[in-house]
Amino acid sequence: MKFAIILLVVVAIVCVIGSLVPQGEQFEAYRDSYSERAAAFILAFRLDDVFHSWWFITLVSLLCLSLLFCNLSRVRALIRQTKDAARPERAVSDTPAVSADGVSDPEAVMKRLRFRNPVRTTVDGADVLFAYRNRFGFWGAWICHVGIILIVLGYALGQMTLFSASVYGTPGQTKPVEGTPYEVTVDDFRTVRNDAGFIEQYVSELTVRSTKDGTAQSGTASVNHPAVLHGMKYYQTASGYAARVSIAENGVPFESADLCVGEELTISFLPGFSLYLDGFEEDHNGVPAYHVLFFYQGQHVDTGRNYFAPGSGIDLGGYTITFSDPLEYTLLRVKKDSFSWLVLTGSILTTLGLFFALYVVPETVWAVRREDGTWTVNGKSKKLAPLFKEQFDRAVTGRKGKEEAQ
Amino acid sequence: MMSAEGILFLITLILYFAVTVLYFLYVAIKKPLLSKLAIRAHIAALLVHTAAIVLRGALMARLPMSNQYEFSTAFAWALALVGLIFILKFRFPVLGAFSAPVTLLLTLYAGLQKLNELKTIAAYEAIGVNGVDRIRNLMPALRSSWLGIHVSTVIIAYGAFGVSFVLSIIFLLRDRMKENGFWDSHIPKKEKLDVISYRCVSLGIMFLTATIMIGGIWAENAWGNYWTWDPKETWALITWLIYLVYLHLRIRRGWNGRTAAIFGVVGFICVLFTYIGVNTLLPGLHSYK
Ligand code: HEM
Repeated sequence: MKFAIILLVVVAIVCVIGSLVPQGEQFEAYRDSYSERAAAFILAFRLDDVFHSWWFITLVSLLCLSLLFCNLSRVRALIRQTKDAARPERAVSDTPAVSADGVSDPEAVMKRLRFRNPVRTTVDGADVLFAYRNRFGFWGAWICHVGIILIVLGYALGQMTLFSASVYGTPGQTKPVEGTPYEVTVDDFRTVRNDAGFIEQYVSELTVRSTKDGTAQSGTASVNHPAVLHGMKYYQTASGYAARVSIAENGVPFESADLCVGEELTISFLPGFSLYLDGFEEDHNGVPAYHVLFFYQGQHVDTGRNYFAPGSGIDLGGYTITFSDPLEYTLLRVKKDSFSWLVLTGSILTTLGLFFALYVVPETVWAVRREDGTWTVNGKSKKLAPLFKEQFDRAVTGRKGKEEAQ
Repeated sequence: MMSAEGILFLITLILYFAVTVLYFLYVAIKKPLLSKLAIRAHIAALLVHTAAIVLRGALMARLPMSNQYEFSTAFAWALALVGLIFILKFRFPVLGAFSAPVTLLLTLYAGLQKLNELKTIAAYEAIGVNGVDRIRNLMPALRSSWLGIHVSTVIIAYGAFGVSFVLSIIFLLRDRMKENGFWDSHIPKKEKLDVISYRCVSLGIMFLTATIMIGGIWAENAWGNYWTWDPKETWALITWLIYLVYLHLRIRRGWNGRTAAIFGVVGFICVLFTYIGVNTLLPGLHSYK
């Protein structure tokens, strides 16, 4: 138990460190906020990414192992305890926690303690009245510990096998889900507003098609309600504006594409040239405009103009590039975590186990008849001894009324 | 102009002040009548507080536990409720003298949040925008019934931890109380205090566990991650671990209740840090709460 307590305290301390030291920063950032030596220390001990460091993982593994061994070593004792709890002969040889002599009606005492149907039996020739309850409460801590092991296991396996990707799209677009044989078509995307004009929901209608066999599944993804298509979850995570980029040569349009904020477009007729849609925001004059960056062979080039009000454009090498029709696009997160069910099962077991451990308290009462015809009533409770003693004393004296401070 | 809900909140604040004074008078003058009066006032304050929260819910047309003010007033409410239940169940009005000031402080904190909210509304109204509408309408991710369950369970947990904090303090002070005096006869013996505190922590940890689990389910539905080591989550985990240590300490053979009581105090400091500190004290860290 001492070991368990130390482990829990150490994990708590590590969590404090992980929350105080900003995570995921570079050396320079730590050097600027602390000192050169502190920054070196932070990086050497992975304090920049505590929760994924080898030593944190070791610590949590140790916690799980100790839980596992603690649980394994307790199984037999628990089975015996559970069985014994139902055996009057065991109770009689037990040392009671509370006891009262000279009781004439032990059944009434048990009834007042809300033990139903006590059994009458004889042990070693003596008449015995025996009742027990809540013996499955013995298993609460055990179930709780199993739950924790499952949560940690499910989380670890989930992280190791996690697939996660992002997809942008405007209505009508089809995009590949990188790293999978699927492509997703945004059939529709709408922003639902209430009467007062506030956004209530973002809704994407999606069709996911396998590029291997062409099978397709359709569904709706909205905030708080991901769609499950071809075994992967599609989350409605964000939305933003996209531009229709049209290219014309001598006034004759010949190419157009929808470009979402954060996307890059390579221009086929100008090799090495690309443009990047950085945002749809207000320009220097407060007019909503696209913010576009131009690149040549990966290098940013200054074209003298970066803001384009919808409908305006720029001439480049005889071509006109126009940015028009602000369209809302949807940003989807695609995820497959094959072990979240294990975490869910573990969570339910942990909560259930806690309830059993804390609220289902095993209690036993037994009465033995003396030679003078009166009974000795005894009781035992796994926990809450002082409260049980009060209840017991009240039940013996037959006194009603509430508990007192003493 | 103050809304009806605001007026009810103000009355609640005044009543909690009166409740605190009455409990203090009771332990100072030691007249049983005062304890009865204090408990009556406690019940009245709780009823008015409940009415204020219900009215707020009607005004907002949603569960009134979704922003700083609503959450802080609900936290104070839960503490007042759990405190009252334990005072009545264990016939322990002296507990009120310790729990009422904590409730009052939390309600004052809620009052500060309310003032901030009124300022925000006024700022919106000044530019012709309906400020109440702004507060009423939540972003889509927060429009989830999971949020409702998540915050309902956490306020019960925090309320219970608040009372266990107070009980732990009484436990730690118990040794200094003279035998056979008023305190000695009106405060349960240490053995029983410890069990009452354990009941309180049990309630808290049950609900905190449920809160964390439900939060995970909600986050998984809304963002696709059930756990991201966000500071709020990390601190909820720290709080949870501290109370687990409390539970395990009590089972140890030869344990002394003092260590558990110290963890009962540290646990509630963690609760307060998770609740207020994470948003205000951790520099540069973003939190969605
Ligand atoms: C190093 C890890 C741990 C070890 C070795 C350990 C060991 C133990 C032992 C030996 C008991 C006594 C069992 C009994 O009285 O029936 C116990 C009780 C308990 N444990 Fe753990 N434990 C660990 C971590 C945890 C964790 C992470 C949880 C999380 C929920 C937990 C929850 C409980 C509960 C609820 C009880 C019952 C408490 C009570 O009856 O008041 N334990 N633990």
